[in-house]
Amino acid sequence: MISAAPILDSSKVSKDDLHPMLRRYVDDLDRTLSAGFPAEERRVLVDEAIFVLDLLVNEKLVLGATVEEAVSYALATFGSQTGIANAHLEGKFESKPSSPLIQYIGRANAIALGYLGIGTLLTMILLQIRIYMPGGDALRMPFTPAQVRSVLPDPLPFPQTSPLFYLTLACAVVLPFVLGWMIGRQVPVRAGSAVYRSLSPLILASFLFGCGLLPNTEGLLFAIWQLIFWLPVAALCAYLSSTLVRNAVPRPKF
Amino acid sequence: MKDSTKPVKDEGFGFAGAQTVILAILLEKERHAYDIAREIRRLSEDRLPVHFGTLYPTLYRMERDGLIASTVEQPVGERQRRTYCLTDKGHAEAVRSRMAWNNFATAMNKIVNRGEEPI
Repeated sequence: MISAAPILDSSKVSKDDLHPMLRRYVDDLDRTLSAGFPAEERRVLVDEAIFVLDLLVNEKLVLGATVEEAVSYALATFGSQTGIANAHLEGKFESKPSSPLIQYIGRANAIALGYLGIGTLLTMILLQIRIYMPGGDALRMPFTPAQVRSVLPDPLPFPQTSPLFYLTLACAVVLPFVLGWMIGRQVPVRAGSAVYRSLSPLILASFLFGCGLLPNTEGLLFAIWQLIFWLPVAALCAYLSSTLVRNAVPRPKF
Repeated sequence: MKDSTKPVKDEGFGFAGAQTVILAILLEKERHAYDIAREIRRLSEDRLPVHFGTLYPTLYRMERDGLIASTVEQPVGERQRRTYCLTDKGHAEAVRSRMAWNNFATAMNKIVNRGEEPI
């Protein structure tokens, strides 16, 4: 495919003799695979990719296509290097031995559900404590309720400023960033989707929990907050960290 | 109006469909990934699209579930490639899924085509 011969025998050519487009493809594939495969396994996968590409190129060459046309056909048929690398990474990740339950829901989903479930539970516990055991001294603010009212008129509540309030607020705001990032570091492919699939049932659970807290509305506000803030932020952070992990791994030579 | 003689390209046939097809193809003999993809295209007369990006995760999953086993082969002077074959469990599943598919296809054919020749 690589070489100058009209019908290519990839088995006999080294990676350096590949057609430039194929070489670039194989290098990219190799680099992306290095995020999840040791050198020996990667060598098999890259070899197989070249083997398949070679056969696809030959399919076209025997029909009279030019080498350029045949290579383009082979690359288009085999799929993008990122897609193939992700298919291997995801396949290996999801096929690790695990319990039937984890196999059923998917390993990536299980990891995301674990992290986000703990985050949701922690925030719910803080909300419960805030509502049913509102202990702790309120923090002193540098202005009086009357001064606040002059800026924020009557229907708006004077904010409660206890340490517990700030802890709950911090959890609700910071957790999706932290948890999304941690999920992305463990799930090599489609981490954002795993967050989406796991957080959706958790939001439903938060909504039901919020209904249980009525007439206090903080639980329902948390469910809405998860929907409009946790979901996009955690999914984005998971996607970014997963991408960074895949791209940060240097490609060892073999 | 659509040309009814033109092969209908599906968007894909999902994991369950892909698994059934792969089991049926491996029932004959062991094959590597390219061989499996080529057989799917050939036997379906290019009606079933084959994406290697879907094929590989399906093969990993089937191997995890014990339906197939893989070995890395390197014929002399050739590149390494992974070859897949059915396990005993995979063999039984191939037979079962074939019967299930035939039942389903027969039922659907009776309903959709009402005894007429399929288009």
